[in-house]
Amino acid sequence: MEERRSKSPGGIKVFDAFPKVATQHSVRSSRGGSSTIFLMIFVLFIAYVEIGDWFDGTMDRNFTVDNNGDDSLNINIDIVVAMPCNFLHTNVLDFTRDRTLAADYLSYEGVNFFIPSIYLLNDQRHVVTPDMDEIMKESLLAEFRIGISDPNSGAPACHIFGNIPVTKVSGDFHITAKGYTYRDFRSNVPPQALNFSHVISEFSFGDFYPFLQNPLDFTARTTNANIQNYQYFLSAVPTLYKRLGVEIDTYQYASTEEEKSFDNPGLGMPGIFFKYDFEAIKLIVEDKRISFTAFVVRLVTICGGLIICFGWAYRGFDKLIILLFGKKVARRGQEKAATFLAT
Amino acid sequence: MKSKLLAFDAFAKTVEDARVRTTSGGLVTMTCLVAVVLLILNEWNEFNTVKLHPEIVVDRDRAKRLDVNLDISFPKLPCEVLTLDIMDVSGELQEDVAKFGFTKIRLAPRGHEIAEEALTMGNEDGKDTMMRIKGSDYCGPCYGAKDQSNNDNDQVQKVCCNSCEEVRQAYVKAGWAFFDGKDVEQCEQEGYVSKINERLHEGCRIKGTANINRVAGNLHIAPGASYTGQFRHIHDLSLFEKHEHFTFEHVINHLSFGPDPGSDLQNNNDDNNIKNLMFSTHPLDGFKSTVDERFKVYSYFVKVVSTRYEFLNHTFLETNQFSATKHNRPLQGGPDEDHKHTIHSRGGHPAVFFNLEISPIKVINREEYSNTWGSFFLSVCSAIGGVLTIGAVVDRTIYETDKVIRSKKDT
Repeated sequence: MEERRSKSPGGIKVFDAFPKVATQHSVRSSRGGSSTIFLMIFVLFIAYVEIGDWFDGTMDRNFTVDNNGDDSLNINIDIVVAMPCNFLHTNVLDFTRDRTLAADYLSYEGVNFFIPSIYLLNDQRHVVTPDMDEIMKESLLAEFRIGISDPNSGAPACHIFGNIPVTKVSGDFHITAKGYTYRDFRSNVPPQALNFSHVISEFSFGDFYPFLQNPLDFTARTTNANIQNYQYFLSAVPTLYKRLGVEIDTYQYASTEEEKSFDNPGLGMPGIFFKYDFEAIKLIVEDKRISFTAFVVRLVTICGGLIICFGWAYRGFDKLIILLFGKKVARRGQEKAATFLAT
Repeated sequence: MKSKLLAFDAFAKTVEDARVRTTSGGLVTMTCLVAVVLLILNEWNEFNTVKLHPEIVVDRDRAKRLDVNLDISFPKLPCEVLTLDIMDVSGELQEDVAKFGFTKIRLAPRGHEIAEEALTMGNEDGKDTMMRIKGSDYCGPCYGAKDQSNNDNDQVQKVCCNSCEEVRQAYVKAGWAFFDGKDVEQCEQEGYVSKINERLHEGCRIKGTANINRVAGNLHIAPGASYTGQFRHIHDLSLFEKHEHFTFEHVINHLSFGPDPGSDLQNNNDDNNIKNLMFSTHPLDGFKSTVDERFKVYSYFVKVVSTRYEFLNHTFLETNQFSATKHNRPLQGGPDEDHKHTIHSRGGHPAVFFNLEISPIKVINREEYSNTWGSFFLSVCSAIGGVLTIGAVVDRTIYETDKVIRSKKDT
């Protein structure tokens, strides 16, 4: 029947560019058969890996000048200070010369001071830049519980948490003791009652993603001095993470810190100061993938290349066997010239 | 020789007799051709797209200066009242730069422009007016703003206020309220008083370019003449305070630093890039502040990032992008209207402030084709090769399957 077909080349047949050899002119072997099956499995495997890679994309770091027009943002904070709540003052002063009474935004809660073992105590945090997967996994927006404000329970430490809206200019958020730094005629905390040991569970800018790791998260500082001054210098960089249509617009920051203790409250200001500034450059971390057509080309090329290379390798191997062991061994498993199929 | 070469033939061809052509093979071939053409077209498009590729370097330029292009309208403040000063941390002060690189355009109450004049406070030729009237040895009174008691004894170093402007400056320096200069002989004669009163209900548009030091500083527009003494910079607010309809409501028509990319880009045809570029070099354009309150300070905190655009036609554009934060506060201070727990500071002048900060980072935005010629050819070749190989496999499979099915039927 092959003859029948090949005799009348007409119609679409003329376009057939793929050389097929009539069965009676080709020989097949079991080695060839198993190789073909192996090749197909291998090609499918490579295609599978490639498709997976394409979906994952590659991480692309880009940047622009930050001008999205946001004028204010939140500072999210969760900190325990080893002093009763009624001794503490929280304020933000910034470059606009505004003073934000942070205490009215934050919740105070009397607690016992203790440092969980996973927190890094008086130590620089080992900082790892999280990768995209981690950020996507942990980008869960949240809000602080509100309404629980129990500051005057007489507990030895104070848990301060919440969000403070601030203007997007450099500023200073600080926790100080009443009667120090700000004039306060009503209450004056005795110097020996001051203790600015603190445990930070969260300190971040922008929307509150509690699971995103920030340099100050899960750190603690303890001191025996009463007049202790902690300063954190934070430089915040707006960062936008983009992946498969999900966008996380947040801030990363770099932090340096300084601590000093004084013998006398006249010499320095006791308190915890977070001095922050915002960079003008915005980082865009995005996973990029080649276009679908480019991907198809790539896939097709890889598969085609594999098939061709394999064909060459097979022929080479065949030649090698003939060279080493002679034609007889090479022809083992090869079908007879005329098989029952071709009849 | 010939036979030796034959051994190397990688493109061994099947003898025509042994070749089989099938309809399915033809169909597969045509599909492959269509696919190849589509892929090549796509590659061609991709090859032709221009991308803007940003790069960050530290700005190493030294002694560079910064051009500030400002165009701002005050619908409820006449030009005579406004003063534009530029101060920077290096101590350089350009007082009333509106006199120099800027023009003030008078606006009618409805908003249209009346006249454009490179306008100054008082009259440029003010000195001459009084000299003409009173003779060349005229020495005008300063109305107590300057100490003139020694004039009779010391004929050489006379203290005089010979023009309206000089009296005005003397008043500011003394911290006195000048108002519209009424009853001041020099101003009455020069026509300053009548002019200022005629124009009370006009608006003003300030437009121009200043070349300032590339250091942090501020540029502000405030009412009344300014005076800078040691540790202080004051404006004479008397006229502003007197007229209740004066407010600092304003529209920023344009604010940019460095050359404006818009005009240079006519030859560039990538609209998207231009839009991006326009936006990032002047994000504040068109911003309207309509808070109708008189005693307010409007602040714009601007961070300037120098930027170089490198276009495909090898032209460069050195300009600046900036990020801005807007803020305003009432002069009397106190709690903010929206954020009750934010307490504004007290004091200052009613004014519009642009606080400038300079970033040490420089952005280089380079236009480039996403593909090179080499990679384009590579993609084209791989598209053809890959598709044909896959086609061959598919065709072979169809052929073999077909054969098996037929043989099954026949038997």
